[in-house]
Amino acid sequence: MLSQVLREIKKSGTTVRLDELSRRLGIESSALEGMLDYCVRKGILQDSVGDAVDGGCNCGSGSCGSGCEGYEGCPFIAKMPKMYTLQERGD
Amino acid sequence: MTTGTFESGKKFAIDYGRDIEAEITRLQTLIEGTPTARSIYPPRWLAINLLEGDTSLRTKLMVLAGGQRLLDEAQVSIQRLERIYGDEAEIIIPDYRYGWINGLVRQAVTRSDAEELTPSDRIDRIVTNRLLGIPIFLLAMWAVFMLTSEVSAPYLDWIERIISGPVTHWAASILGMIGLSGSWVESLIVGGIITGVGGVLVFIPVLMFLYFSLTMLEDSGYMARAAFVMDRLMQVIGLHGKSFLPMLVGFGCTVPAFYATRTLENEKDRVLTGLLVPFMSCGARLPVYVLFAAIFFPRNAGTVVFSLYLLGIAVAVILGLVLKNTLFKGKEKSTFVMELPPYRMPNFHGAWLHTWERTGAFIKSAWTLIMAVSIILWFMLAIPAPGAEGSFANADVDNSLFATASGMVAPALEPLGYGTWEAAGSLMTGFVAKEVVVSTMAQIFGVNGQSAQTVEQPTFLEDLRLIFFGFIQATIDTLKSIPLIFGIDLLEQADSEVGSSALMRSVHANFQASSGGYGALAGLSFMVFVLIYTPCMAAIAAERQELGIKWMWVSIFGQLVLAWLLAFIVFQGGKALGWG
Repeated sequence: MLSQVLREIKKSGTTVRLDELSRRLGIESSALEGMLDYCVRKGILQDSVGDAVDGGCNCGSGSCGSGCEGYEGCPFIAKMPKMYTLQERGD
Repeated sequence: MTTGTFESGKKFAIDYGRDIEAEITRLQTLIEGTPTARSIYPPRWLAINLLEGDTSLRTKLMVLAGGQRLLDEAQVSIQRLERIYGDEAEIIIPDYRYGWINGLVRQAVTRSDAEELTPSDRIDRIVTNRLLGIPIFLLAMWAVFMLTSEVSAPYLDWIERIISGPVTHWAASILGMIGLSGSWVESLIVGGIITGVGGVLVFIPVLMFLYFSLTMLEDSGYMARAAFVMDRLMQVIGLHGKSFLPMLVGFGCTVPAFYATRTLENEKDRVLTGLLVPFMSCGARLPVYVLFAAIFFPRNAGTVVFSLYLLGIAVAVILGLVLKNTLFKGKEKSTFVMELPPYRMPNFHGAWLHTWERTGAFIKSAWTLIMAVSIILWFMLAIPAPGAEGSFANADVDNSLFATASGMVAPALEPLGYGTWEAAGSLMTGFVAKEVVVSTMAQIFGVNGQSAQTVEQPTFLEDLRLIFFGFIQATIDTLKSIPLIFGIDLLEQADSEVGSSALMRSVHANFQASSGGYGALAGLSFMVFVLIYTPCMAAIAAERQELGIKWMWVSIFGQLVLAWLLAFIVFQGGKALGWG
């Protein structure tokens, strides 16, 4: 089941929606989410939403331009979709 | 299919198949013979987790007596299983477990066909469609910019009146009370700080409407779909799929967008994305667009602003394609799974709070950075150039130090339609931050300073009345202007009112004169220049930190050259075609 999911992700070769993958494989979305989270723990996939927020919304030590005051000054990122990226070792 | 049993009185266990079960049993026996491990962990559970390569368990076992032997034996089992299955053990074992869970769910849960597609799924079929996704995204953005530019105009006018009216009067009165009336201090505070900072604060309603519209879209769950659509576009042009994140952040502010490039592991992808990020038009450029669009394109301001955002994307796409096929050759396919949140009704209160937080950040910046620039600029405008007539704070601005310095750059801008020291100076201070372009223009043209001295002072009560009734009138006008998004003008006098502010008149006259009567084309060319050239000092610092000094300079000069070229094409091309 898990290997089937990983195969399908690799096969798609592009971005795929979780619900689309769930329908394609006939797996419940919540079960699929659990599988993907397991893969994140094992380093097979990378959950990149955290990176985006930490890396994108932290202005660092320098002064920031207008509209950049940490998380609240970070438009368009608050509700970004959760993304799972296939890591090299999973190939 | 894996099988599990729920027989009463027996412990539940998933059957992992002959080969895996054999290894589990072998390890289980070893664990049972190791008292230190057996006393802490259930043997079967520990055996399965060791086969799955649980790193935290491995660390804990290492310090137990007999633990290392268990780990070595687990490694032997893992290698044996990987030989049999041709895959990693940490995938094979959960594969069985998830297979069993999925089988159980299928047997236990019955779903009707109607349940298969939720309303969110149905909407997504259209919104994230390969062909329709991008046009729908563009349409949504067009509606946002129409709302931002057209509907916020009455509030913009209201704040402009407050700053040039009551705020200026009160400051002048207070200064008069302490005996500073007519002094250079009054000129600095009224003509420098209030005019400079106020010139930018006027645009707060525009930013609030923009942030509010985008927050509503975000809350509805649409922005996540936009990210999905954008990601696809990135992949089509050969960029790494993750590039869309910094790009999207760049629409808000270029500084965090540079930091967001950290999500790209590959250096080539990170540098390429970093070079393209500044072309995503940030919020600070919006005041410049709104001001110029209101001056030169009052009837199509929203469409003009939207077109500039589109132009920024188009430049990034074309440049991305060129760079990806030359300097940054080598295509890497990126594969993602995206979990899109379900659609929901946006929360008005939450959206308002979010809008206020974002606007607050802008106001904070206005009071610090813009005020500092306004003070420096005032001094540069007050100090006469060497050899020029006049004394400190009493010289003609045309003979000021700032005018002389800006005048040296002005000839380079002549082919773009605005070879004046005023336009050159505004673009130069724009290196600090883009909103400073507007505050510089406000100061140069001395709009508020003039009004403070020439207009008769109203009473305090009259000022309060102007603020209060002005707000009510602005609200009524805003409601009336909503149909403008659809091209219906219920506010017939709005254009003339907004377009008649003193700053707008001065900028209009200046650009008309410098362009030989092609003011609108020069205005458009100026907006294009502002869109493309270096975003701000903070962005340069972030760029240096993230991409290194070499790419920072490449980016600064590249953007300047590209800005000049595109602005030149707009102005000269437009003239050649007989526009404007």
